[in-house]
Amino acid sequence: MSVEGVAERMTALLHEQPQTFYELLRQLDDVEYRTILQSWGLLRERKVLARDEHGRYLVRST
Amino acid sequence: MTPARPSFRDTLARLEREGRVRRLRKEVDARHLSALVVKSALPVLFERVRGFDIPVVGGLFWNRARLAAALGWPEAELGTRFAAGASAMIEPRIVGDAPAQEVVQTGRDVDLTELPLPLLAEKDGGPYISAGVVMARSGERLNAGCYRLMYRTRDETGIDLVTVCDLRRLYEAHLARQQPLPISVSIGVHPIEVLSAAYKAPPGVSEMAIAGGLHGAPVPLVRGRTVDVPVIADAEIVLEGHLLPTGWTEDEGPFGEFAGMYGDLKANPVFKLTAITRRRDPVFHLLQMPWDNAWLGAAATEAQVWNALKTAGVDVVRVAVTEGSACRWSVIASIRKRAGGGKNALMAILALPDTKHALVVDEDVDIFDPTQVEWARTFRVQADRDVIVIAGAQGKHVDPSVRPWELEHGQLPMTAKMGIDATIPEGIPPAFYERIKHVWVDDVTPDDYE
Repeated sequence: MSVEGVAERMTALLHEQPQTFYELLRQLDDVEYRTILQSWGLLRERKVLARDEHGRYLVRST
Repeated sequence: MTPARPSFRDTLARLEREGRVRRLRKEVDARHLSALVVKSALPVLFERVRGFDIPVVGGLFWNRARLAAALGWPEAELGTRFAAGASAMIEPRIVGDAPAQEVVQTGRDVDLTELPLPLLAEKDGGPYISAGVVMARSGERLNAGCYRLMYRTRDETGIDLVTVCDLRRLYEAHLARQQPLPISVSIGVHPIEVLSAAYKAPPGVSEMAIAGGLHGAPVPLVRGRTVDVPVIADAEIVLEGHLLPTGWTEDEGPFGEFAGMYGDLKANPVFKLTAITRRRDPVFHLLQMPWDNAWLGAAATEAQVWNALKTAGVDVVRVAVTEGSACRWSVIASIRKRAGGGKNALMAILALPDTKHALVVDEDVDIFDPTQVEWARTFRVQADRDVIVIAGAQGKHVDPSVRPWELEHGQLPMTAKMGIDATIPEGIPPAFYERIKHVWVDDVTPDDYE
């Protein structure tokens, strides 16, 4: 699975509800861990991530 | 000729020869590194991590026995060895040979995702580098510390600089001038260097000089390839870069911390990498929370308690921190007691800023045996006479029982301290405490009958 594709899946999951990194990872069992790191880095670079008051990740509202 | 000190990989090789490391040869998913480390009875060396060509070792300092083995010190002498070494400092030495720079990646080649960065705990804000010795220049002095680094992008991490420390002060000075602060992060270095970096050295004292004193040989340093900051020359992996002058603005944490509880989501600075250098065949050191980290502070705390007791004129025999107190807040000491000496010892220990609970026993009690300690606490203590409580002492935010959330911004927490004098009470003849001794116990052993 491509880095971009996994980043899109992550974004979709975070749109559903705020999640910890671990909760996100549990839903991406089929993805190689290094790809997870690369996709996560991509979301960070694009500055689309925000946090709720519990420290869970969510997608920044534009 | 100054003797060389062993490297990280020399130490791993020794531990493996001694049967103190468990080597896992099958390929593992990096997701499972943390779980496998905490479920293993020994430190673990993962030979193959899927998607990475770098082995991982974790759990090296998980308890007193493992820390002592990694340091090569007797278990009961962590504090005294630290005190002796720290008082005989040897400055680090700049060397030409740098295995840590066998491979150098700069610019777009800098890619943290080539490292098997582990996710440690369920609520952590992301994968963390937890075993890095961070170095920065403070004028002519070299500052070293242990700071957690949260993965952000291929060339960025977060860094926790909330607590007051030397690196924070340096960063604040650079921030005021809107200048980036150059730092290096050496990963996979000798345990003595991690332990020394984790120690809050007195002002003007170099942590790496303390490491040299503990080794009995200088720590070899080499200049970074992209920053004017040294790195440990035989580290497995080195990160170089700058703390950006953006202040405390970026999300970092939560993180499962050394006390066994989660620290909050924080706003912290960003570390921007300019280079990753490494050996050709590096090993990644995973410092597992909480106990790998907590035990790193044990030697310094025990040394501090030892010195406090000596200063108070107490004839101290042994000192031990307890793991459940994050190797810091709860201390047990055995002493050769004179009348009133138990209470004097308690006052000396509780005067230290970190100590919350202290227990003092006589020298006939093995303080490393929880059953013996409990026996003394049970049969040598009357709570109305032998327990002292000091209210309103300096506390720590990390302790939820001080209710830190009720404090005003900038207000420091206070705590109640407790001391238990479990020495034989004055007026009770020691003969009442004579232990039973089993017959012929010194003469036979089951080994003779296998």
